[in-house]
Amino acid sequence: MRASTQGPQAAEVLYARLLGKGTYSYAPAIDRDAARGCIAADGLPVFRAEAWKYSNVGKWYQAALAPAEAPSVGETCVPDGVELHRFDEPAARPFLADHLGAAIDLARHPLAAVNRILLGSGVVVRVPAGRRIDEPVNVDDIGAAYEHILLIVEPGAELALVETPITATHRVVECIVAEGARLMHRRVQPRGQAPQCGLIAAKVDEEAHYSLWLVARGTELRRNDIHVTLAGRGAEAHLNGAWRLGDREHLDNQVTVDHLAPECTSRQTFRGVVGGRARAVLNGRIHIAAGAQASDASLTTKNLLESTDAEVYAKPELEIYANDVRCSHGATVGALDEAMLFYCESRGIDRDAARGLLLRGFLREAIAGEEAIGVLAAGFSGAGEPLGATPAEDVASAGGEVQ
Amino acid sequence: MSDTSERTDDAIDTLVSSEYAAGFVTDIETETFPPGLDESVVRAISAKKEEPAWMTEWRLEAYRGWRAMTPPRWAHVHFPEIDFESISYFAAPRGDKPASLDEVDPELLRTYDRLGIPLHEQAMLAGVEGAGRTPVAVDAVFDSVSIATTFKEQLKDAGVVFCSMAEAVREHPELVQRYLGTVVPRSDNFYAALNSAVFSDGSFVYVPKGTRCPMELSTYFRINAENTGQFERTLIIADEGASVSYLEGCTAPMRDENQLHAAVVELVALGDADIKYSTVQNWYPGDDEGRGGIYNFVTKRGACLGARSKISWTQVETGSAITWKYPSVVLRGEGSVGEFYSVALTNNLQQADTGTKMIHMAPNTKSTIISKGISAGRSQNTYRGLVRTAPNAHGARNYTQCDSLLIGDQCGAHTFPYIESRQPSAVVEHEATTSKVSDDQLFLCRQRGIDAEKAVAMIVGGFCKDVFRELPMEFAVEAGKLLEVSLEGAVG
Repeated sequence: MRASTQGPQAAEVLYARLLGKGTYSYAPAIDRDAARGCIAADGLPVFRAEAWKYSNVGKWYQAALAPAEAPSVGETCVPDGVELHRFDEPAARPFLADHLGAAIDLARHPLAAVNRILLGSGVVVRVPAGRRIDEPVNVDDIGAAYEHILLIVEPGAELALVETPITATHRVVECIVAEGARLMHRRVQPRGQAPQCGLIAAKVDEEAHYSLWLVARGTELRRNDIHVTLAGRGAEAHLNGAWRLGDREHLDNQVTVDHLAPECTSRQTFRGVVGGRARAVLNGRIHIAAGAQASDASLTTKNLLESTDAEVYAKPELEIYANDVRCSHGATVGALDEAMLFYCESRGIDRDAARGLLLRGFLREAIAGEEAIGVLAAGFSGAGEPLGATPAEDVASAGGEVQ
Repeated sequence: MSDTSERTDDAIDTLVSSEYAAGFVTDIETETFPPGLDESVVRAISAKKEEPAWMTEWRLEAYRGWRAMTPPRWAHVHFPEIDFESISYFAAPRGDKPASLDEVDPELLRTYDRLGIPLHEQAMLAGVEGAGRTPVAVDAVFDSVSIATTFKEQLKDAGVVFCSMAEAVREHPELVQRYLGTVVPRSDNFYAALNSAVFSDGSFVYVPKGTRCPMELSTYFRINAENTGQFERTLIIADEGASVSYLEGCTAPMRDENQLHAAVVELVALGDADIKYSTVQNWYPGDDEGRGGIYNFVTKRGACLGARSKISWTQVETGSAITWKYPSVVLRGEGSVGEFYSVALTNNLQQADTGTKMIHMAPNTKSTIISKGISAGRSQNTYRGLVRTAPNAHGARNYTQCDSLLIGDQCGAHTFPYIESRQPSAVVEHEATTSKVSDDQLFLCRQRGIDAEKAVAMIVGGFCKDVFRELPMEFAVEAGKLLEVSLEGAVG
């Protein structure tokens, strides 16, 4: 349910005010009409709409309407062999014409439509066909409240992308993964304050491979819409995510994997540790279109609740219109197993350190790597919370030694 | 397509294309209200039932609330807008209510005979209906009225009240006033509000303290009249330490128009009480092209108010053009238990959006959800569920398993489980799988001389076993047969 059925006038005023913030002078060649059409038809999402059941979209509007601070421009490093064009450069035009919005259904993602209308900065990152790039591309802030990163991995090419949206109010990352190409996408979201939303949309063609590695903390309101379309036969997607929230952090991940072609595979693994007064939301939808036979899809999400004021909302969904499929999902919510803690303690590991080790092991089921653990641990260690930056730190803080 | 799958398809075709056996119309003189709904209709229904003023007022308030509400649109079902002004809200066989079974119109008795519902106590007790079987007390609801309730005397001896809702309002107003609308409030949802305003009949059960109900209770709902809706209301109260098992069955004639069935069922379990509620839902599902059939929009909810109380829902859903129902349990008593076992089968153009809600609001509460969905033809079958643990639900436990079986490549199977957890020591587990009747399983059966048709029936039966074994014996047999019949012609 959108604004059109709940307080339409309020939503219109809101929309007008949002539009009032825009200058529209950036990259005028971009088609903004389709986005305007979507908003005109369906309205903006409003408080208590089903898709925003657990997140107050109003907070995001407040942030979007607040007087803009000068957006920061972070570092964007591009290794040899990768092309980088800003949207307002003439060199970007052919890529924009061919690919911009190809992976995005604006009617499903109204905030992405707002992003399109108010777009202030965008970059095209292109890897030519057959090129394998070993060094990752890094994109942090690109200098606007509304950003769009268009990543084109041409047939047979390979790339790793590492991106961290910091000051953007809304970031769209659009990945076009052509036949036989591979893209490894790392999204790192450290703890923040301001409300922030975004869309990651990937279109994965025949025999292509897309993997997402999401390490996230919350803000007052953080929402990641993730939409992966397996568009060609034999395409594959692996989505892994880990989050650890405390205080009043809020993280809402809305994930959809669309199996449109036959013989595609998707795997989703999410782990969350939620304490304090934090709220974690995961909506994981697997959609198998009619004709997408021999699809193989699975999703698991496991969550640990650390306090009675914390909240976990999990909604794994299956929507299946083909019969020759293997689909499953699983979701659990609980606390750390006392028996495991006791096992560690009986072997001389202090309770806090044991918790740290167990939490680390739990999160590592989704995401491995010390960098990830560092992001997830920030702000927790030293405050009586275990899970230090490294296993050594955990054990050392407990007066022990690492074996 | 391989030879195996072709034969499988043929087998499933035959299996899925049987006739709806309960589709006949009883030719009986009926008194029907003209279509349309306003306060005067609500008052007229209340007057027909000779209700006291408080009941009329209760209905009117529900009606006023309903006027301000809009129909829910979130379910995964599609149908044209219902014109609530074209429905007749009351239909009953003409004549006074019969004082005993002997006075019931023979045409009505024949109807229930044809449906296999035993209304002859003497015959049943004399063993004519099958010696050695435990009798089942039946409340037979025909369109808007209850026409007979059997074994009332025997039940009365045990202290159990089993009667029609209309009678309960007259005979046991204190119980009705105390519990009616406490589990499903009048403002709960659009269809519950409508039901509260116009409900005509249904069953009322009260099992007193420490009493185990001596026999199974059953209500059989039959829609017969044209262009009417059926709005029955059932209220079951199990007092402390009481225990009762209740069965519900339903059928309707085959017609090209859709008919609305909007029921409300409320269960109340006090301390240590135990209620088992089983449904075999076989409303007319419409024809192969999706013409006609019942819209089954039902609100069923139980409240475990006392410590260690238990409510168990078992449902086999094979009928209705559209099913929209979520039998739920609110676990308020410490250590109380909620269960939901469901088989939902859709074929042709049927649509089902069904599941349950388990609301854990007290420590050490437990719930189990086993849902089996089978989609065939061009049908859409959805499981939608909610498991919520409140911050005080220490040590709560939920286990949910939702499996879907797809037969044919034109149907859909969907799962939308909501998990909302706010208590660290609560453990919530959900798992779901979707698959089809596999060629390997079929091959294995056929290799051993079991023909494809039987093999599919066996595989489906095995798939549903976890639920069927929760059903009372007679219902389990009935359900198994119903499933075979509903599946006829489904493969291909």
